[in-house]
Order: sequence, then C-alpha cells, then structure tokens
Amino acid sequence: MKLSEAKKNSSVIIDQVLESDVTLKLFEFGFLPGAEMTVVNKAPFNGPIYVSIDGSLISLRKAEAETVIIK
Amino acid sequence: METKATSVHKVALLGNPNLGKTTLFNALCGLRQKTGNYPGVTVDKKKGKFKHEGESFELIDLPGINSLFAKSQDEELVVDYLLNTPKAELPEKLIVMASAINLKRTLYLFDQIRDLDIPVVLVVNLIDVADKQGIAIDVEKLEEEFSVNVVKISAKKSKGLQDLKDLLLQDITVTSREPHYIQEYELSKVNAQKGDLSTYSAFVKMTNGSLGDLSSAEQKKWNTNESILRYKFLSRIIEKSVSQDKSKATDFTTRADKILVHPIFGYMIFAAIMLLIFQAIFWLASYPMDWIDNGFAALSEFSTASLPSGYFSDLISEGIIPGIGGVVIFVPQIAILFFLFSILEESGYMQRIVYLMDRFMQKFGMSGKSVVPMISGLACAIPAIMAARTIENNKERLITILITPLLTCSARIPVYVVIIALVVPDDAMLGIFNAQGLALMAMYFLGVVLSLISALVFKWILKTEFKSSLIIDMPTYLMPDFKNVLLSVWNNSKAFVWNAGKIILATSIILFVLATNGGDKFNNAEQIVVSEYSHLNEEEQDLMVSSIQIENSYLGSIGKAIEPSIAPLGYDWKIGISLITSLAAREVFVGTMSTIYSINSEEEMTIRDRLKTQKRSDGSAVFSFATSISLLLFYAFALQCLSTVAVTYKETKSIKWTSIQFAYMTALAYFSALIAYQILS
Repeated sequence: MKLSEAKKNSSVIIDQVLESDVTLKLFEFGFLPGAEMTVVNKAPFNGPIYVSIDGSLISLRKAEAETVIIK
Repeated sequence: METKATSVHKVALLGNPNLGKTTLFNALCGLRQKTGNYPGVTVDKKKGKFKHEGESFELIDLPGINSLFAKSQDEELVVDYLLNTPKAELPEKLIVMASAINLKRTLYLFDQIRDLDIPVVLVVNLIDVADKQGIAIDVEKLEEEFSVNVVKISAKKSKGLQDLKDLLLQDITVTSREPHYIQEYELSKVNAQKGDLSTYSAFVKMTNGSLGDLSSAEQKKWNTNESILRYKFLSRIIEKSVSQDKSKATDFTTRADKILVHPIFGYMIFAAIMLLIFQAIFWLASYPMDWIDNGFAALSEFSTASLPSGYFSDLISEGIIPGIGGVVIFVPQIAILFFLFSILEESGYMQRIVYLMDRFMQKFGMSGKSVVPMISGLACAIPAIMAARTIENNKERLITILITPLLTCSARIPVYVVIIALVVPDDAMLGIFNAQGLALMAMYFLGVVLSLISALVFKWILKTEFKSSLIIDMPTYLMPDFKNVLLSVWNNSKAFVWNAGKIILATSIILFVLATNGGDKFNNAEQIVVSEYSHLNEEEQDLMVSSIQIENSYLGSIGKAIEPSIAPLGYDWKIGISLITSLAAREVFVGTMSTIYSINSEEEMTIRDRLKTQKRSDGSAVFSFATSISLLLFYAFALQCLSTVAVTYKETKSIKWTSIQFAYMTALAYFSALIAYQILS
C-alpha cells in the first residue's frame, strides 16, 4: 500500500521508497525502510499528509507520499 | 605562546530551521547585532558581537538548513560559505545546533558537518522541554561517539550558555573520522579527486557536480547511500545515548494539531488570526497614534513660536517637523504588526499555515512555502522576496517573487490610513468592528486577490521542466520567547524609522526649498495681488499671495507639468508631486503631503484635518470619494519602492523579470486608478 492511501491515525511501517526526484529528500527526513510512523492528519482536497515518524513531525504532498510503500 | 587578546574570535552558528538558533543568537549578542537595513525576518547571514572573559567574539548566524546536499537557494548559500570560503576567512569554530526532543534527525546535519573537519561544538537545545517529556541525553556518550565537545542548553532560559562560552575560549581540534557515509569503491574515486580538500568536502563537491565527472545518476546514488549509512550510524548512537521515560511523554503538539490543522476548524482559526491582526493594527494602534499626531502638531507650533522668524525656522517648523512626524506616527502600527508576526513564527504556527495552504497555493502555480514570503510581504516585500529562497522549484519561486510586492506592506499603511480616514468616518462601526479597520482589511484583501490573479497569469505563461515537491518539518509548538519577540519589534521599527526617516528628511528639505523659491511670478506675487485683486480685504489678499506662490514655485511647476497625465485619475498637481517623491519609497507620500500643505499655512493642524480642508478651484474637495479610491488603488498596485526593484534583480539576476515586475504593476496601478475614477466621479 502507498502512504498516500493510509488512513488518518493509522500506524504503519515503511517497506520501501520508490525511486523518484525526491528519494534523497525523503531519506534525509528519515523516511527509510523499516521506520515506523503514524498518520496525524490529512489536509482536505488531496492536500499534504502530516505524519509523525521516529519522533519527528513532517508533512509531505500526496505525490511524494505515493512513492512511499508501507506495510 | 600566541596572544589572542586583540583579535576577534569568529564563530558561525548552524542548524536545522526552527530549532531556536535565533534565540541562542539573541541570548548571546543581545542588542549588539547588525541587522539588515530592511524590516523583517533575516534570511541572509546575520552578525552579532559578544564578550566573554575579556575576549571578543563575532557570531555569524547562518540560515537554517536540513542537509549539506543543497536543494534550495538558502541551502546553497550555507554550503557555499562552508566549502568555498578561503581558509583565512573561515570562522575559527562552528556551533551546530541539534534539538533534544528530536535528536536523531537534527544530528543528521551535524554528522555531515562533523566530516568537514572544521573545529565544531555541538549544542543540544531545548533541554528543558526534553526534561519535561522524560527524555534523558547522555552527553559524555555523545562526546565519545563524535569525538567533539557537546553542550546541553536551553537558549530560551539561558541555561548552559556559560559552558558554551567557556568552550569557545578553548582551542578545539578535530581529527578526521573514518568515513562511514561512503562505500569502498566510491571512496577510492573521492581520494583520486580530493587534492588537499577533506574527504567529505570532496564528496559534497563531487555529488553537486562542482568537482569530478560523476553522472547525475551516480551523484544521486552516492547521496542516497550517504543518507542511509548516516541514519544507520545515528540510530546506533541514539540507542546508546538517549533514553525516554514514556510515562512522561506528551504529545501536546499532535493533540493541538487535531484542532489547529482540522479540515474545517483549522481554516476558521487561520482566518480568525488574520482578522485579529488587522483589527489590532488599526484599533489598538489608534491611541498612541493620536498622541504622536497631536505631539508633532504641538512641536511644530512650539518651534514656530520660539524660534526667531526667518527662512530656516520655517524650514524646521513647516518642512522637517511635519515630514518626520508623518513617519513616526506609523511606528505603533508597525510595532504591533511585527509583534504578532514574530509570535506566529516563534510558536511554530507559521508552518501549519504552509501545510493548510499548500493545496490552494498549487492552483496558483506556487507552493505552501510561498505563504511565508507572502505573509512576511505584509510587513515588507524586501525580506519576503529573499525568503522565497527556501522554495526549491524555480517556477514557484519566480512567481512568488513577482507577486509578493502586490501584498500590502507596512510602507503602504501610512498612505492607506490617511486616505481611509478621509472616506470613512472615525467612529463608524459595522457590528462590533471598527469600520476603518474593515476598510483597511479590504485593502489587504485586495492585495491578496490581485496577487493570486497575477500568479495565475504567470503560471499560465511560464513553463517548467522540474516537478515541484514539498516535504517540511512541523515544529513542536513552543511558547514564543518574549526576548526574541521584543528584539524583533525593536529591530524592525528601528529599521523602518531609520530608512524612511533618511529619505523623508532629505525629501522634506528639497521640497521645502523647491516650494519656497520660484521664477518671476513667484517673486512678484504680492504686486500681482495688489494690482489685480485690490477689491479683496487684507486677509483674502494674503491667502491669494500664498496660493499664487505655491503654484508658481519650482515645485508647483513640476507638478503642473505632469498634471495632464494624472488628471484623468482625479489627481491635482499637488498629489502629482507626492507621486513623484514617493517613487523611491511609498511612505514618503504622507510626509510630502504634509510638507506641501503646511507651507504658507498659518494654523497648525494634524495631517488628516489638513487634507480634509483642501479645495479645488471650483470649491469641491480635492480628496473626494472618487479621488481617494483612485489613490488607494494606485498605491495598492504601483511598485513605488526602489529597494524592492533592487532586491528582485539581486534574487532573480534577470533584468527581464525585474522590468516585467515593474511594468505589470505600474500598468495595473494606472489603469485601475483611471477606471475607478472615471466610474465614480
């Protein structure tokens, strides 16, 4: 499943991050395979997704969340 | 032994954004800081000074960045500073800040900087907040693992600052570490290229393309490998040095965000905060503004009465005092604006606005990050345009730069306030709201709407090759630091008064000289009146002399010359003079108006009253409804600010875009004012 499809308040683990222009940036923000996270909020009208990952609060656009595969 | 007593120790401060770097900077340097000569957030290098044990230090505050692999202009600035500054000019030491409540991620940047082999001290900030959340950090362990000095501090509570300053006195040497961010075969390639650079400097230069010939696919691979390896390394360190008592852990921030970024309440709260800001600017500021207005009128009267009469005392009481008064009166509003802004920044709420608005801004070819420049554009376009550096996508950044000057900056407040007061009565209320406050808000709203429409047009015209992205931190909510807030108010009000003051003092003197000298008709005004208007009584004759003089002064001639082109907008030659003088800076308008209208007038009045009494030759008021609206529109859209033109050029490095910005705004101003006047009059 993609992170963009995760429900609000659900806890998930990153399986892999698909190759894209933002892979490095996602890695630098801690989106690494194996990292646990909770979906805190989703902005309306397909806006950004707000997650809590490894003690950090981070938000990213839906397009970026689509490259993060979760389990 | 070397003596250091006379030299200044240069120290640079680095870290992720929103960790409290500015708080530490302010705690160390206090008022001894050199701020930019424009109001607003600092996005360039900022310098300050402090002393410890008789030694002098110079502290350089660099913009907050996430990684040494630069993706935006502000990150490039820092990387360039660290890698390309000649050795002799590099700071003696670096202070890198990490956050105690989010240690792993904030150590990532430190881990990179550590490998540059520049003497470095690690400060772990927010230690007081971490204590409350039951997070314990083993400093000795961190020191051992990184082989650097580590200090725990709370910048806000000034805890640990002595230890930090003591460390800065010591000689610090760093030894290079075994590279843990790179794979074997990569390392051999780096070693072949590096020359006398440190291994990691060479690595960064190779991956950003300024050294060697790695393909972009290789660059990307090296970088992604680096981040995986570094996080592995950091996870191991964090496991050994950080422990958390889970029973004390609070998730205040995520709980607060249940409401603050709620799909409905979140937007309502945002709108309410904006409304509150505008009401405060108008209503709360009106009291000190009245005192200042009356104070300057009294000062003018006093100087007229006490100075010996003559040309120079006229210059002071009719030229300089009203001119300066025209600026000082807006200090309360500007102070309130910056007070509220820095609270938004400091508390962490600003990033929530980015989150809430991103989807909306994308429709206009911009990013949620454009909201920060746009909101700071409500204070001043100059730092706002510079703040657009954080936007990674070039098209989004260019659009943000082009439209930001349409937002109502603080220099427009003086003009708006004076003109609104002519149209809307003082005590009018609409429900519980002050009507003038609402009118001002409408002007802000107009700026926002026009900026979005312009953005839409630019989005349609401009092409882009790169996909844009948004990945941002949502900082933990923190109580704003009172000292930071007050310093921001002080620095920004000072910058406003000083900059506007300089221009206004000069223009008031030039205006006064031009208005009190003229050709034959000016010099012979009294004879003309005596011979042609002998039927008038003495008082009327005096008035007639004054009006003939101002009309035929050099200043009057200039105004008359441009009158034909501005008459369709409903302006007379006196307003024309103000338009010319405020080309360099809008706030000069009010000063000019008050200087022009007080010359040759006997009574001391406040600026507003003076403008209200102005009549055209047919007896109707100069500042009629149609003229006032037309002026408001003109000032809302015209790019009357040389500093903005200069900063746009500096940031875009393009004469084309700088000219396009000036041209589209001027056209918008002229034609909207023209249409409004023609319809309303």
